[in-house]
Amino acid sequence: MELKVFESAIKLMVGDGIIENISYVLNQKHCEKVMIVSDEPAYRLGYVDMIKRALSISPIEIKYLYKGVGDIALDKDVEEIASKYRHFNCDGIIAIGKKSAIMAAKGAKILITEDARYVSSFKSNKLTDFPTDTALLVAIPINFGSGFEALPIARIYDKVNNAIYEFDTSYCATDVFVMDTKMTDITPPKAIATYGLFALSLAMECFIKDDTNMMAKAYADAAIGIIYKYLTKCIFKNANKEYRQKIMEAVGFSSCGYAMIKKNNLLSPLSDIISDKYLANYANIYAILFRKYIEDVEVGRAFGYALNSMVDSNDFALYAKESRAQKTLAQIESLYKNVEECVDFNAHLSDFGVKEEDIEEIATMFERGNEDETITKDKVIDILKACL
Amino acid sequence: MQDYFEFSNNVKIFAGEKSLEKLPSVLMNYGGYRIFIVSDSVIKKFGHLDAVTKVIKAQEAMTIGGIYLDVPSLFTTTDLDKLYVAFRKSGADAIVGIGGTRVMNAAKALALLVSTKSKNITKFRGIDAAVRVAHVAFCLIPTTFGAGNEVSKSAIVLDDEKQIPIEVISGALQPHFAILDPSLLKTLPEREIYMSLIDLMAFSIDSYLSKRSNLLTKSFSKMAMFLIKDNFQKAIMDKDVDSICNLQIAASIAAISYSNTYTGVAHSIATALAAKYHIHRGEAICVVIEPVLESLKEICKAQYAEMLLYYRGTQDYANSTEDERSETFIRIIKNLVTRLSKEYDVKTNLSGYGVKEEDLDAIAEMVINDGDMLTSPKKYTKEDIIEILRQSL
Repeated sequence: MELKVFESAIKLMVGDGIIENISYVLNQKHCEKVMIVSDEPAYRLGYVDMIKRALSISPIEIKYLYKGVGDIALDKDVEEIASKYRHFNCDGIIAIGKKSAIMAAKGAKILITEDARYVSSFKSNKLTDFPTDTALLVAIPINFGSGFEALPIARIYDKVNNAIYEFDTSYCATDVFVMDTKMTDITPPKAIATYGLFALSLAMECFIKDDTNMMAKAYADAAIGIIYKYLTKCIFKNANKEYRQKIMEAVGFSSCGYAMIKKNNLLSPLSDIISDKYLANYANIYAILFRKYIEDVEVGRAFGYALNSMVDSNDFALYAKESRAQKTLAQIESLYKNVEECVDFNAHLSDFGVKEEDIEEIATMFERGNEDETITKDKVIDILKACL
Repeated sequence: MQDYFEFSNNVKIFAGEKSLEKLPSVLMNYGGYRIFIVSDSVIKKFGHLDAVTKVIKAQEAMTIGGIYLDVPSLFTTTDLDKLYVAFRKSGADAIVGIGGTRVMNAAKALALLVSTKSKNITKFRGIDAAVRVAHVAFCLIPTTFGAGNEVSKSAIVLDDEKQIPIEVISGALQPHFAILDPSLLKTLPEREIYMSLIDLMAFSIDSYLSKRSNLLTKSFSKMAMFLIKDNFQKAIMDKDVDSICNLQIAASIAAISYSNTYTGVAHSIATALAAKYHIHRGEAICVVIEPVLESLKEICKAQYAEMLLYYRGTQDYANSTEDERSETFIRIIKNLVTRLSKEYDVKTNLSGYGVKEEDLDAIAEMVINDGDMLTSPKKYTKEDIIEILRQSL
C-alpha cells in the first residue's frame, strides 16, 4: 500500500444563531486578540455587529476590523490585513462575508505564517507541507457559503500586474468553519439548489478520485445522504430552518471531505476561468460541468459506495452489484432533473452567456495553465460543448 | 431538529508501509529536534524501537533526548510523575510514543502535562478541562490497533492514593500526527490481532449507537465497518500487510467517530473490568458483547439493521425481514466472537477471570459512574448492569 495521508483538522460548527456563541470556540482555541475581516454585505446586514456583541461579553478583544474586501480578494487587502494583524499582535482572524472576504483572510494567514509582506513574494509558492505556527482562522460565510470556505485554497488577484496568485496549501487552511442558519433566512431556492448540487459534486469526487481515502468518503457519505433526503424539500420550503441547516451541514461535510483529496484538474480550473470571464457563480458552473463529467468517469466499486449513501438500506439491498454503478449515475441525473423541475436552476453554460464560439478561447485559456497531460484540449472542448 | 452540531478531527495520519520514514521530516516541521521516546521493553524486543531510533538518527539535525521503557500495564499517577521527570531531564522538544494502548496512554498523559505546563493530571479529569499553553511536537506510532488511541481524545491514569481511574477527555491529548505503519504489526500474534479487531468492532458499534452520534459520526463508523468487513479475514488468517493497514485505518476512523460521540456501555464495562481485574479490554468485550447488544435491541433496532448491512453486505440484509435484522446482527456478532474466541483460547465468561457474583455490585458502580454512560442510547440502572454482568458470569 502506498503512503496515504489523511488530514482534516477543520472544526465544523453548524447551528442556528451559532455566531452569537463565537466566543466559545475562540476560548477553546486560546484566542485573546482577534481581528475581523469582512465585506460590505456582511457589515450592512449586521453580522459584524452580531460578532461584536457576542464578543463584548467575553474577555476576547477585537483589535481591528477590516471591512474593505470587495467582490474579489486583492493582494492589497491581504497585505493590509496581515500588516494590521501584526501591528495589533492578534492571535486569530474571524473572516465573515462572501467568498472573497474569506479568501483574503486565507491569503493573510499565509503572509502571517511566513512572516512575509507581499503576496507577490509567493510567486513560486515555496511553502512546505506542514506549517505549525499558523494564525487561527475562523471562517463564517454569510448566506449558505459554497464550501470553499473550508478548503485550503486561496485565489488572490493582483490588479496592477494583472496576475492571479493561487494557493493550494495547508498554510491557508481554515481552522474553524462556522455555518449559521440565521444567515440563510432570505436565501432564494435557486441559491439553495446551486450550493446543494455543488456539494453533491464535491462529495461524489470524494468517492471516485484516485487519491481518495476512507475519511474523505465518510464526509462524502454524510453529505450525499443529506442532499438526497433534503435538497428538494429545502428548495420547496426554503423557510424551513431545519432543512436549511441540513443543507448547510452537507455543504460543510462535502468540503471537509474534498479538502482531503486533490483538486479536480479539469473542473476546478475550468470553473475558475468561466466564472471569472462571465462573472458567473463558481459553484453553479462547477455543478453544471460535473453533471457531464461524471458520465465519462470509469464506473467502479466507488459508485456502489456512493449509491449506499443516496438510497436507504432497503433499496440498496435490492440492487445487484453489477447494476449499482449505473444506478448511481441515474440517481445523480435524477436529482439534477428534480432540482430543475423545482426551481429555475441555471443548468447550462449558455445561461451565463457562454456561446459556441467562445469554447475555443476558453479551452485555450485552460490549456495555458494545464499541467495534467491526461487532459487534452479536445476533452475540454467536448465537455464545454456538452454543457452549453 | 438537532439545533447545534460540532465535529472535529485534529490528527494528521500517515498510513502505509514505509510511512515510518516520514517521522523525522514531519517532527521537524512541528519543531521537534530532540526526541523523547516513550515505549516498553516488548516493543524494544521486537525491534520496533530500533526502527524508530534508526530513522531519527539518520537525520543529522535530530537527536534522541531519552528513551523511557518503564510503562507498566496499570499506569498510575506515580508512574506519570516519573515519566514527567524523565522527560524534563531529557531536554527534549518532542514526544514520540511507540507501542500499544498502554504506551500511547502514557505518552498522551505526558504530552498533556507538558503542553499544559502542569504536574497534576487530576485537575483535567472529565471532558475538555485542559487547554494547551506550551508547544511540544507530539507523534504516536501504534504497534497494535483497535482503540485508535493514536487519534482519540482520552487517556486513563489510575490515582494511586484513591485507587480510582482518572479519565481525561481532551483535545490536548491528541498528537499532532500519527504513523500507521503495518510493518510494525507483523510481529503481532494472531490472537492480539483478533483482540484488537473485537475492540475496534465494539468501538464502531458503540459510537454508531451513541446518543451523541450524528450523520457524520455515523458515516465515520460506517466506513470503519466497511473496512473491517473487507479486511479482517485476510488480516487475521494471512497477515496480509495491506489488510492490516486497512484495519489500522479503520481503527483511526472509528476513534475519530467515538472521540466525537464518546463510547458506550460495552466499553464502560470493559474499562471497569480492565481496571479492576486487569482483563484485556478486547477479552472483556468478547464476554459481554452479546448481553450488551441484547439489552439495546429494542431501542436500537433500526441501527442494528443498518450495521448488519455494513458488516455483512446485502445478502444477509436482504434475506432477513425487518423484524429479523436486529436478531441476525446480534447472532452474527455472537457467532464471530464465539468462533474466534474458541480458536484463540479466549475465556467465554467472567468467572474465568476470577470475577465473582459478590463483585458485581462494585463493578456495576464503576460502570454507572463512567462518563461515557451519559451518551448511552439507554439509561441503564445499576441493576441493569449487574444483570448484564450476571449473564456474562
